Amino acid sequence: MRLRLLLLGALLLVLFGVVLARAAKVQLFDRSRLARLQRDQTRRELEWAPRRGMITDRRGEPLAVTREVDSIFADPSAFETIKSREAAADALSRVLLLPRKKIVEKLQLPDKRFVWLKRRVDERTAMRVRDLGLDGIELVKEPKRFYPQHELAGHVLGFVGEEAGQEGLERELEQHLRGRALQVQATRDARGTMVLEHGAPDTADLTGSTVTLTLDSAIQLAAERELAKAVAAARAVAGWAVVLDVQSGAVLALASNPAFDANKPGRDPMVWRNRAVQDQLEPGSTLKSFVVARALEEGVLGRDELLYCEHGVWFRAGKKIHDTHPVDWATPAAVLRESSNICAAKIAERLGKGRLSDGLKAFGFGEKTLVGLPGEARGSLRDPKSMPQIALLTSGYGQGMSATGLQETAAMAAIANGGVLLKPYLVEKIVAADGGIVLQRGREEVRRVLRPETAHAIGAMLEEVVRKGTGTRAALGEYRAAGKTGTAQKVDPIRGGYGEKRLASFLGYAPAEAPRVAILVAIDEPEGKGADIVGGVVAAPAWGAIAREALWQLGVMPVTQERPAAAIAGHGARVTVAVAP
Amino acid sequence: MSLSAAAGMRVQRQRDSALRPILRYDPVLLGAVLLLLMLGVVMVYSASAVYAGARLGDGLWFFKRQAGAAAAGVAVVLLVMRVGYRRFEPLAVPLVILSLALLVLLQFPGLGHAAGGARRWMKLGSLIFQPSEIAKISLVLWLSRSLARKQDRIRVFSVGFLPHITVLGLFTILLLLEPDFGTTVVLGVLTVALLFAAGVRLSWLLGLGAATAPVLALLVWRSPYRIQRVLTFLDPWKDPQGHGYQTVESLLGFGAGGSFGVGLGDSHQKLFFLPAAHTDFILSIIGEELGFAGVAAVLVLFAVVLWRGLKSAYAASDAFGCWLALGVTLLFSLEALVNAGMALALLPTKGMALPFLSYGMTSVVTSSFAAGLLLSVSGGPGGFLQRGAGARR
Repeated sequence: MRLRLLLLGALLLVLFGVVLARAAKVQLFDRSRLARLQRDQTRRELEWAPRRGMITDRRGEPLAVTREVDSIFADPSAFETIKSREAAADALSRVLLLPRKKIVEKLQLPDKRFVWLKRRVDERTAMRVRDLGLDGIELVKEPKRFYPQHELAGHVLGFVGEEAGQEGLERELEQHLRGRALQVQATRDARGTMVLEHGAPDTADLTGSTVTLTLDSAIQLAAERELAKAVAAARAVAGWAVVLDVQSGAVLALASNPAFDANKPGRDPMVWRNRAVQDQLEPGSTLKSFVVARALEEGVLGRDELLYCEHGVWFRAGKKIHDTHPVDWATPAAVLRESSNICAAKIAERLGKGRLSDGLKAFGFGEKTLVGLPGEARGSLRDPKSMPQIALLTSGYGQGMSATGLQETAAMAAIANGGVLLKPYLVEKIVAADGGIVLQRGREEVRRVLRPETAHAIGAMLEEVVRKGTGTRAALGEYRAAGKTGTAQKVDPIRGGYGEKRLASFLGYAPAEAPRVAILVAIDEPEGKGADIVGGVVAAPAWGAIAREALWQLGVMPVTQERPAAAIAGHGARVTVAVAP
Repeated sequence: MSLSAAAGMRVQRQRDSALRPILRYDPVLLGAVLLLLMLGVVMVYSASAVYAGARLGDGLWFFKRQAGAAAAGVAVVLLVMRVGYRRFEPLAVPLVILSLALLVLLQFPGLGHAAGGARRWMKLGSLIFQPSEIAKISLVLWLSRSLARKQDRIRVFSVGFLPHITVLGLFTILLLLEPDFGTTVVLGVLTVALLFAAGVRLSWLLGLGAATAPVLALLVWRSPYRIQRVLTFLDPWKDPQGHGYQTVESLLGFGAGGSFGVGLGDSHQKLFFLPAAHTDFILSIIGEELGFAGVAAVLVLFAVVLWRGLKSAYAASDAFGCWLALGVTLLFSLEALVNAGMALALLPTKGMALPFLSYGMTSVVTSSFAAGLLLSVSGGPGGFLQRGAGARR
């Protein structure tokens, strides 16, 4: 018996030894293989979506923000029967406004645990889906871009597509705004729940920089409103407006019409076009200001010199040049005031191809302003070596060459500030989420274009345009304004040559005695004929309204203490509300 | 002798007599049992907290019950030691009848409580227990008593062999009805081993083995889930997401643990990957959190129980004590081996608790009761085996 007991004991001990050996094999020798398999089933790399930075106007008013909204996905494996799928699809198609067939298709995807049903839905839809309480239908928060001011500055801001910024600053500043996606180690349990061992990442690490623009919401709003009015009144196809701070080059407003709401960008790329920056068109008579300025600067034209303007028709270089109002003798001031094409052509001829070309280049024409928007046009100037004589003449009054609205406004700002071309800029500051300043901008001089005396002389002439010339409708009343009208002929892209279509504009600055803003209003293809669709009629009133609002917003004291009643009424409550901090 | 000195001596004597009942018993065995009980409470908490939190809304649900069971278990150990194993001898027959009755009652719907395809639990009011746990210790008690009484005629077939095999057969039939194949195998092996130790003819035991082998094969063959388990056992990696899932997940846990484990509480397998993590597969969680060191410690503790249990059998002064100590020792060892073998994929998966460690109030309390009996025997002065050996030869 003792022997048998011992035998039993020994046998059991051996068996314990076998189990121990087995444990040693599994835990010490098979370890790496098993541990790797185990890690594969529990470890997950989770990507934490980046949070796009905010865009604000110069006062900190948010123009583009990111909010967390619900996206809806399904776990098709939760729907085993056809009946359950159809019931869910019925309910969901009603709430999500999606075709029922499409939902059923998604729900019956085999071997899938995840399929998006609808991303970034509004709060009400999310709540209704939640209320359905369907198993296998889940909601998850995703960041969505919002533009709280809707259409305001839509063309400047652009919008964000599924992955990245698609237009405007959203696209141009993608790398700053995007923020950083973070990989986070997570442990997954068998039911699919993720546990973050080191917690969620700090939002500051995810968030992109905050971009402060030079835009002023109130001025932008006024620009867009007046532009819309002008475009509608002229039954034009489009319009654009630019407001620059002449002392710094900051873009205070940059508007295009038709406007679009970046929250609902639609599908038409033409609508997204920021025409003041992306379109290069023949500017027309507004360019005379710069030609006359360069002629005075170069000393080829006397300030009070009398020029013969051929009484309305001049045959030169095999072409006929027209003036709408026949002029006989005119000083440079009168040339601008009456907007004589013939005398402008003569002044251009005096400058000559080389000096005209160099002079316009000095004003920034023919080169990108690098304002920081995608798709900026360069504008075109003929090469003086290959320039035909007629092109030299037409350049004098802004035909046969092209420029963007922004280029023109920057050039006008140079006249306004005493002759220095400044680099226009839209982005004042980029501040990282951690408070670090990524970029800060201010006045940046490109070059001196005119001596101050020349600039002042031209300024006086431009003021005269508003006072008693073609631009009287741009007069501000309580402020002194200076500017130039333009009514450019547009090339007919189908027939070739100039057609009936016009680009009517007004380009100027205010107040004339101490300039603060340079403004362009351009109305593309106003409907009508002759004197009804000239810049002085179509664009100048809007210019006046925008200038008045801009100066008011900038706190510029009027020369005359009283404000006309109409101007006060122009300050709608909307403006005040929109910029309220 | 002054009065105070006399009083001092009396106190001393009283202390001795108070300590003796415990010190007389095997402290190593007691220590091993208490360590296993305590480790069980800790590991049940670690393995079940996430599961309990998610399913029952209370992460401490299993911990509280296991801690209560362990506390009750310690009390039972001490009580049984105090009472002495001999007092339990008369209970052997009633207990066997009771457990057989319970196993029969289990088959009646309304009384039996099924889980995982097996009818193993009985519900009495709020009390849920496993009759098979009671059956194990009852059978051990009865076999010890019977072997002790029939000691002289143990080599007579109708006395030493047939009655024991008959009772085993009854248990086997009822257990297979649950079905509880694991307990059946453990009880079968235990009975055969006890009969072998008690001196039953080897030829009968071999004959029994030869007779039951085909029956076992048939039982496996006739039941699809057992075939599946055997096939899975042969190659669990063939279907790691299906039939092999539990075995594979258990092995992953052991593997991830390596030498010293991922640290107490840091198991990933318990995050719903390993089914029955706090019950039958608690060794895998120990392997993952405490590593090979932890598994080896558990196995060594069970080996210590085996060693000291056999020593208790030697220490027994009477036949009942000797067979009881051996039976309880065999029970612990076999359960531990089957459970560990299953967790380490040495054996097909079957429901089998790891004594003291697995969650289960019935299991913990009956194991403690058995341990109490074993410890009670360990306090004996010895003599039965020596005397018996001498007398019989």
